Amino acid sequence: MQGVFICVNPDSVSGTVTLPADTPTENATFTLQYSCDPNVDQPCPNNAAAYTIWQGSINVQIIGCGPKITSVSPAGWWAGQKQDITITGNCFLTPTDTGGPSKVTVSDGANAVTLSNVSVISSTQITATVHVTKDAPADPAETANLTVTNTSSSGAPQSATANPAPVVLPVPVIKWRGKKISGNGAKNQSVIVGQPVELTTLPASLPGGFTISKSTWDMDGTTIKQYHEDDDTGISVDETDLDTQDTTFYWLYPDTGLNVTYEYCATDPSNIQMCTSPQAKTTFKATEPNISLTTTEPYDKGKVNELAVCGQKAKRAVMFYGNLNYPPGQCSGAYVGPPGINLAASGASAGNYVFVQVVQMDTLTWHGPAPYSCGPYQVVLDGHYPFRGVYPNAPSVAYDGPAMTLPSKYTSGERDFDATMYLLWKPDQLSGTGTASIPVPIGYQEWYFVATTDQKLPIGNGKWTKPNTTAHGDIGGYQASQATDNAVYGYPEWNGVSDIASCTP
Amino acid sequence: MLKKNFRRTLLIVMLTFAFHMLRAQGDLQYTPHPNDTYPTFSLTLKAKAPEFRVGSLVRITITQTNLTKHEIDCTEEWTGIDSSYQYEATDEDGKPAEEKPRGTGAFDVHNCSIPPGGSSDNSVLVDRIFKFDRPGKYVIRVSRREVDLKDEKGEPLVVWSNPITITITG
Repeated sequence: MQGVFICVNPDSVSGTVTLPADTPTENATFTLQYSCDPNVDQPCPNNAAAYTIWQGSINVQIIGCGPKITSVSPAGWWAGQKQDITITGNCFLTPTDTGGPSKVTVSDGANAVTLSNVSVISSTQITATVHVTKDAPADPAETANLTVTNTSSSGAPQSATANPAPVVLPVPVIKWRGKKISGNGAKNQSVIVGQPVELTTLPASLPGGFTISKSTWDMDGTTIKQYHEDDDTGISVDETDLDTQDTTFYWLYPDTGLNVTYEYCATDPSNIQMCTSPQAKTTFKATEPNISLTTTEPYDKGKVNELAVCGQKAKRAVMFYGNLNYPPGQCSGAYVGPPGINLAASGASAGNYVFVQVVQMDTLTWHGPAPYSCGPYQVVLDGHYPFRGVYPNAPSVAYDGPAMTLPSKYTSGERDFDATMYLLWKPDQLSGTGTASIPVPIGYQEWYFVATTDQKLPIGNGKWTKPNTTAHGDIGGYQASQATDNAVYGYPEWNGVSDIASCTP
Repeated sequence: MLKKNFRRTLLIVMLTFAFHMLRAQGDLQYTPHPNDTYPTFSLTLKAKAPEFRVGSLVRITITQTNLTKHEIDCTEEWTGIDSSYQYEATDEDGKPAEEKPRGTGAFDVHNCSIPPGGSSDNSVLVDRIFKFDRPGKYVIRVSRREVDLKDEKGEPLVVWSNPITITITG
């Protein structure tokens, strides 16, 4: 470096030397040289040519700039990984600088972070490798102190600490029912199908202006977030949220080894997203009682009975699948007698069975001088969700005995009825949660009833023959529901509610 | 001897119990209560919504509440609506709403009972009964027959629900 000095008096000169801003603290020797240039100075003393008149040196101590850190990249460090970092700033001491190289240290509250391979590339750049153990805390997540220190043989060391501090991005943790269920020592979990699995995660938030900008779940098995039912529009399901920090879902079918994983992306204050998150993993077993549906026929044929009509003396003839009638003296209310078919659920000692019957095909035909027919009614909900034909004192048994009115103006009547009874099962509410369980598909049984009856002569007397039952009972065997059965994972589907009220023979 | 008698008695009791269980699941049954005080139940009516568009499904819920100290009947005769109820709708002028042709060509019997103090809900599409094809307000109420209580003529006494008003919009 050079400076301009002027002769103040024969004994002294003064001037200014400007040092570069990044001149570190160091000892230095200044050499002053006074030269005469006859082209500048007139004349040089003794009329000499340009020559050095005087030269001397002094030793000075330069108090230089301390290290400054302008950024650390990346600003977030993933736990369980090694990553190379770059520290940018100025006044770093390289190995060739006096007192160099600058020292770099890192510390955190959990002693989870270590540094290696520190290399001061230049006065403005340092590289290193950071290793964060898997034990870096997630609740809450922490920051790390990164410090660059310049030492001096002739003065106090000067240091700078990175601000903002690098953020330690922890291994995520999955929690269920208030407990951590992922990570070292975590045990496999068990839940009953249809019970809510409400999972939360750590970290819940990040320090240093970082945000959890993306969450990703993955889970084995068939899960849904929620199911909805409406008599008129059917059953629909909401898919499980796989992109939220916390998620709630239900398994619909039993299985073991159901892995659930979670990872996240973090975004720093400069809007740089980092997505190499380690994974949190847990494993569930979803259980279900061994439930089945058994079909029996208390009365396995058609039967014509005469029913009292309130306010009228005349009775009405009705063909049943079964042998049903009002109790003697009644014209409304409960029926008595054996229905045509029973479908009994068994196997669960807790929870509730839910029956849903879908009419696959129903046709009614009356023959005579002015024949009339209704239907076919197809894939419609038989009455309500759930099916109301359940024994009051045995709610695990559904029954049915479809009935066909026989107006006396017709010569014969025929009913062709085909339905599927679906069995769902709703477990008891999971203890410790206020979230309700949902019914899950278990299985189904198709059944049918086809019968014809003729009015005895003379037509109009209202007396009918013993029905000719050509088909009755179950079709095939009981089928267990499967997630691949349909678009709603095996729940029953239907198109509106059966409307046999529109049938006016 | 005493031991043998006890075993035989126990066997008879168990067989009787098993018979009744089987019978309970093979036969629909009803226990009459002819000495009850009228009414044995109340009916509360609610609409799924206060307004419905012309041509839409008009669904109401009927809640039957047991007022006695024993089980009562809530049997449904399903014909596409619950025909165990009788339905009434009047327009803004107090005139009966026009009814659709409705038959009982086919029906399903769903026996039902309500425990003492309990309730049973049933929902019905009344647009299957009435032609709500003109915008305006309609007052709806339903009734249900007592099973065991009859009038002087021997006809079942009837219990009415509260009236509700729905608005059909264009």
